[in-house]
Amino acid sequence: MRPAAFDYRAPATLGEALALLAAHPGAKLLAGGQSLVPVLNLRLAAPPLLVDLRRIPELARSVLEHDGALTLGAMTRHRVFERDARVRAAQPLAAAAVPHIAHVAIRNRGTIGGSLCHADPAAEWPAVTLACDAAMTIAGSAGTRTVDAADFFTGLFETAVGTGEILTAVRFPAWPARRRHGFAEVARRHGDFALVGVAAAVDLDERGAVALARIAVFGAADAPVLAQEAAQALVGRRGEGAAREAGRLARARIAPRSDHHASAEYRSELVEVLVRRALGQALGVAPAKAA
Amino acid sequence: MSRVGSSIVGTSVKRTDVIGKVTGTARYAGDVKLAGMLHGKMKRSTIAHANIRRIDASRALALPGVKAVLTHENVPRVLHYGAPHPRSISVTCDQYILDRKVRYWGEGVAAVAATSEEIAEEALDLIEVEYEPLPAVFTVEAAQAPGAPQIHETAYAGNVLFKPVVVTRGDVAQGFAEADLVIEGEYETGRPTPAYMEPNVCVCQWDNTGKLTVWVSTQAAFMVRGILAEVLGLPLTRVRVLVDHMGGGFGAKQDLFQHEFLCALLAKETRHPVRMEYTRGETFVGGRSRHPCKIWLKQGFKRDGTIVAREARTVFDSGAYGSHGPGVTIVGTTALTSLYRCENVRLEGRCVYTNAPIAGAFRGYGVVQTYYALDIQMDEAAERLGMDPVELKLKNAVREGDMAPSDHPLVGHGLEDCIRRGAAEVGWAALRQRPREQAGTLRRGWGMGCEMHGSSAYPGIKEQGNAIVKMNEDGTAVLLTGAAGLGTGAHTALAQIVAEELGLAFDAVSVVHGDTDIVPWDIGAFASHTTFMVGRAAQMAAAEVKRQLLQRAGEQLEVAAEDLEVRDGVIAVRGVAGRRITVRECMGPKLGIPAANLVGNGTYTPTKSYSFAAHFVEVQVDIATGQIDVLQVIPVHEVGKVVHPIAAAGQIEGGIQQGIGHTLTEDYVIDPATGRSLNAGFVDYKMPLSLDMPPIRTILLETAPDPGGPYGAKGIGEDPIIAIGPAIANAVHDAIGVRFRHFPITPEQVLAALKEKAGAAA
Repeated sequence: MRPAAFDYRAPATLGEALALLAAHPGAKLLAGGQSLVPVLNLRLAAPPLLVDLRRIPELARSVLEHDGALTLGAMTRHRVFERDARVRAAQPLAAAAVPHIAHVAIRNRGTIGGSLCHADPAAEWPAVTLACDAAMTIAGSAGTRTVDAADFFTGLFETAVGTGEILTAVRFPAWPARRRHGFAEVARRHGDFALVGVAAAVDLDERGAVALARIAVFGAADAPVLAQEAAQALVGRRGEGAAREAGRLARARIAPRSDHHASAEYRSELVEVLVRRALGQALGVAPAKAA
Repeated sequence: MSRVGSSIVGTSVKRTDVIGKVTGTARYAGDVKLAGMLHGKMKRSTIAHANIRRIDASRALALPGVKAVLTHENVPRVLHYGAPHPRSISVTCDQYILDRKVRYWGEGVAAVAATSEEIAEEALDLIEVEYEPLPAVFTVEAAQAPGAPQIHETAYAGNVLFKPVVVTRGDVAQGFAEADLVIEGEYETGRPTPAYMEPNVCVCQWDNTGKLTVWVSTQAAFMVRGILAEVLGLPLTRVRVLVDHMGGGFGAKQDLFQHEFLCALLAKETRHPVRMEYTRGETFVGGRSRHPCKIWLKQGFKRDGTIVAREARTVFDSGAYGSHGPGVTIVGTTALTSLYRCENVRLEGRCVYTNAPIAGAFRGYGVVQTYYALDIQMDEAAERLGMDPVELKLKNAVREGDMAPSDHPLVGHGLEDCIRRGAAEVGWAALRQRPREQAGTLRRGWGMGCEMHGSSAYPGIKEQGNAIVKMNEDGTAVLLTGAAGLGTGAHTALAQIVAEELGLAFDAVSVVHGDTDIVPWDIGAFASHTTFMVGRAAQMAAAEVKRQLLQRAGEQLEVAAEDLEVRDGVIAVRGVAGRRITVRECMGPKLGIPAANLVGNGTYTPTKSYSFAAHFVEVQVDIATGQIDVLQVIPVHEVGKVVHPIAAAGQIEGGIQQGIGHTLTEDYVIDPATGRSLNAGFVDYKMPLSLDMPPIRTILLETAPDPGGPYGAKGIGEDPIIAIGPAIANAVHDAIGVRFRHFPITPEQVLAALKEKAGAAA
């Protein structure tokens, strides 16, 4: 349980970090180390150089705009959502999801940018950004670009961040007054990666019916997926029946895989149950207590 | 035997190991660093059953930094026991250090010593092994099928390890003929592993006299010494085994593993000290799991609940080597003679080799498996008889004088006390009558399970506990013991017993342990016997020193020793105020002679005592996701005499944590086609962690003290892991009406069973 030997650098600016990446193909970014270090220790990866991002001030900077939009530097620790009431109030879905991420010690060290770039299919953050329609800012030698969450997660542990690039921030649009949310996941133990989870954001119209829904399902495919049909079917509806139908539609559209933690069939069952539960919370038909 | 005013035994004194452990200064075998020390690593097979056609280490030897490579071609080929106690019925003699054949995926085939761990690891990849694959079997059925490959030539028949154990009492056919209700069922248990915190590790060094010193994490230092000496052809004077602190063992660290021999041989070959430490993955792959077990159990009951017949067949999967297979099979199978009394019993237990990972000794030693079956079937019977399971178990609970599994009449009958106390504590009768709340998809249920377990391995092994106590000239005392400190607080308990017996303060007794050249011979710390057996030996040694001490004091006070008593460090004439001397004064220089040599030697050869427990458990089942949560556990344990309440409760809580893991989440999984390990690590092997633990309200009873134990104390090490499993399974049944007869019970299986039940009802 020891990593292969590697070099270590901790640049003080983004420019230096980008230059190191350019000069050292195969270098890995160290953003909090809560996934990367175990991977190194288990010898699943042996990068020649680790570039630690912790000394770069702009990556740790977060901005809460007047309209409520929240931009989080990529090095923001998960734990902010448990400690800062303003951040929590600005993004209630993220606030509901964060306590499900591993354990307190890991949430203290792990970063939002690290989790997004690692793109574990069972991780909470990718699904939350998808449900919230967040946008990622990526810096490269040619400047910065912005990628929507819907285009960011490209496959199993794969993202739109290219070789030599660094995710610098994630921007959550302002939380509308009539948005409701739900979050539910099932894991074998407290703090384990989810077998399946669901993060849902539902915008209601002035009469209380669904105007728009975004239902992100994670742990059921190579990357988090939006249950589009289920979301579509909710429009104009309210109540438990709507949540049930959405659960069935999501299940029909998502084909999970089996592994020795759970069969595909059980995961399918969980997709239906958890979509129903998350929407139940959002629509106020079930207690907002996570599964 | 317990004297009035006894104060140290029964008190949660500050443990002898606590400061070292919390400050990080406690020394473990892995902390040993010696000048010139090399690092050893083992290459493991990538096939489950094969002959080694060719093995070539030349490229590895050419790697700079590599000092030696061992393969089956250059280590002694000595058939040996891998576990205590050689020549007892409990263990098998079927191992080689390295063989020409591999019998499971991950078996060691070569070892390297190099100047760093990294180089040693790199060298492993350079060793070329060509295998001639053999057909492999991974289940007891496949291993017993006609034409199955024979894994060991030394087996009793085919892949059956030893002559199946058969126990017969009374007349089973007659019993079943008299029964109003006959229930039979098949039960199956998984493959949990002990998952001790400290991986297996040893450091070996040879000195210029040809003496081998071994620092090792083991429960049985004298067994390591004995088997190493035998295999390496050394007298016992040439092998010294040192064990300081340990990070757990749970039974598995009674065995010798391949690395201890290889480490010694690498050190000899290179003339340098060598350290070998398992990775976490290796503690699974090359460690010892619990025996997966299949149990067919049939019982006959009278309408009033009386059990009139019991018949069972058990099959234990030993994996690729025998280890403790016979012992586990015998203890687990014969346990079915008891717990719930029955005069007509017929039991057959067998143990089978497969090409699966090696199963060994593990807390609960076969009884975890068989009492899981028995206690679930009791619940089934209660349901069919229309009885409260608590009433049914009370009615049949084993009593004083009944024949125990060890074929001795039971002394004490703590089981009824445990059941009654637990039932009162949780308000069982009212729980049975309560209306079932059905909040959404959550269902709650209560269940209970019982157990009894012997302190000591008697009669499978004739054991002996030894202790030496000697006085210092300042009135303090030293206990010399060979008992290992696995992390259970054993040394604290032993020191408490010595202090109590000698009338000294607890901190006036120090403990020397873990050096086979210094401490008296010890059989090993296992079988829940350390406090019971070594504790009694320590008490006897202390009593002998006290006799010598009072003799000396008598001469000084000019009274007969018989008229003296010692308490709180003061020796006084019984009933005479003022005629007193402190132990310190008594032991101080006299007539110019600086110190007196007061030494007591205690030896205790126990038969068997049994501890008892009943666990009451509340669970919650989510019928939409199948998740089972244990909400609370009320364990009631009868242990004769509590020596250290906090340590005893700690044992119980730890056992419950392991038992919850067994029942709900833990299973070491191998690929059914290749035998390859699939979850050898703490990410994928799911032990319950602190956040998964429910509140536990432990109750300790002292209602059936054992006359053989120190102050009546009996064992507590293994008991807590046994009753929790069936208690959970029975509580799940209470919650959702589904009967599970296996572990682990997964959420997926809960959902499938609920669907089946709904389908059957529709």
